[in-house]
Amino acid sequence: MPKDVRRWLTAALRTRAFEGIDPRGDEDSASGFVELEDNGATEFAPGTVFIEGYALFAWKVEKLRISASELRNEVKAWTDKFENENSRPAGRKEKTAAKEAIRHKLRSKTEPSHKVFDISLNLKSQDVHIWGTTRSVVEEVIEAMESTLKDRMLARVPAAFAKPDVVDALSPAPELHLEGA
Amino acid sequence: MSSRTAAVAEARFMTGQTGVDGGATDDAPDADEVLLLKAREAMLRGRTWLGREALTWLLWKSESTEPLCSLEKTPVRLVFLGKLGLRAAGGDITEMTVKGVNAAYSHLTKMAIAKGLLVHTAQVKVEFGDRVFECSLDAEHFDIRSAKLPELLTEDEGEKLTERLELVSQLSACVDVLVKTFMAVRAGPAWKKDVLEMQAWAREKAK
Repeated sequence: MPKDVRRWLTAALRTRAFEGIDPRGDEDSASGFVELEDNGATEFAPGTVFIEGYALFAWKVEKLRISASELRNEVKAWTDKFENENSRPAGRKEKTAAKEAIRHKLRSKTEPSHKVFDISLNLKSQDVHIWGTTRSVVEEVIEAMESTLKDRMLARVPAAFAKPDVVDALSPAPELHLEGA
Repeated sequence: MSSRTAAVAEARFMTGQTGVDGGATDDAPDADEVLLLKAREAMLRGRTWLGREALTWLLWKSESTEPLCSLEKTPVRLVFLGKLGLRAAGGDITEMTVKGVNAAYSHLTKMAIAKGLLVHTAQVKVEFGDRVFECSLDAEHFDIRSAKLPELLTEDEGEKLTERLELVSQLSACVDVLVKTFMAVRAGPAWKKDVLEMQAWAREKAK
């Protein structure tokens, strides 16, 4: 870590700060860093991030899910109306266009759901703890931190505790990994 | 490419499911073959086999109840608790879970180890001096899950957060030093001797 950790870290967090889903856009999910105490804030003032040897922040994941049954019902209502008005069933192209329009309409009405995962960085040991159990989120946070901090994060698996050439020379112990059970 | 995606791709290549171009090498295998391929892939992915060897070695070592190592001159003890997941990359049984008061050190568990199933998930108690932590570990990521920390000493609300963070760091450091101790043995000449002793331990009790 550089000497000016405060500036380095807060600047990095701001570059990948959380931006919510654009209701007029096509994305169904968004994620980024937020402040720990207020997951709507992304200023990352040093006073809110650094507490007694730790940097504390969070990763917010926002998802927008349109209810499948609501979409189906709306499409069904539209096709019924179309048949009544035009005395013929809607064509495939017309149905697809209508479905897309309904999806957009529902999308603008739907409230996104969100989850927040706390992250702590021990400034002395440089250990990062991600407080979440979803593996995909942990992977996402690691990728985001590596790209914003421009630093490599090492998972604390056994292979991390030996030199790479030593680990590369190891292979599963044949006496233990038997196939007899 | 995320590290997990890269590890999966590598494991698929290692098990012969994909070729150098990343494409599938064979037509659809049958269900039994798929099961075994998955078990083998799970063992190779991200060197999970090393994590399984680590947890199995720690189980064997911990039965003596002696400290396994020390951290900041304080002894670190490890006890495996009531639930244990064992896995193998081949054979008739590729996955097994044992649960019970002393399941981790039971004859059945040792019998399974003697037959090639190694510890993949475990609930453990870590004793660091007079502090006692509990958590779950898995061989693939060594993530600390469901951690139980010792009771907080401070009554000041403002200091509770930092004390909790300190305790988590301490638990993390204990797990690190346990794994480090294993790796020192695993990468050195003592490993062969330990493997023989571990096999004898598993077989003797399995009689």
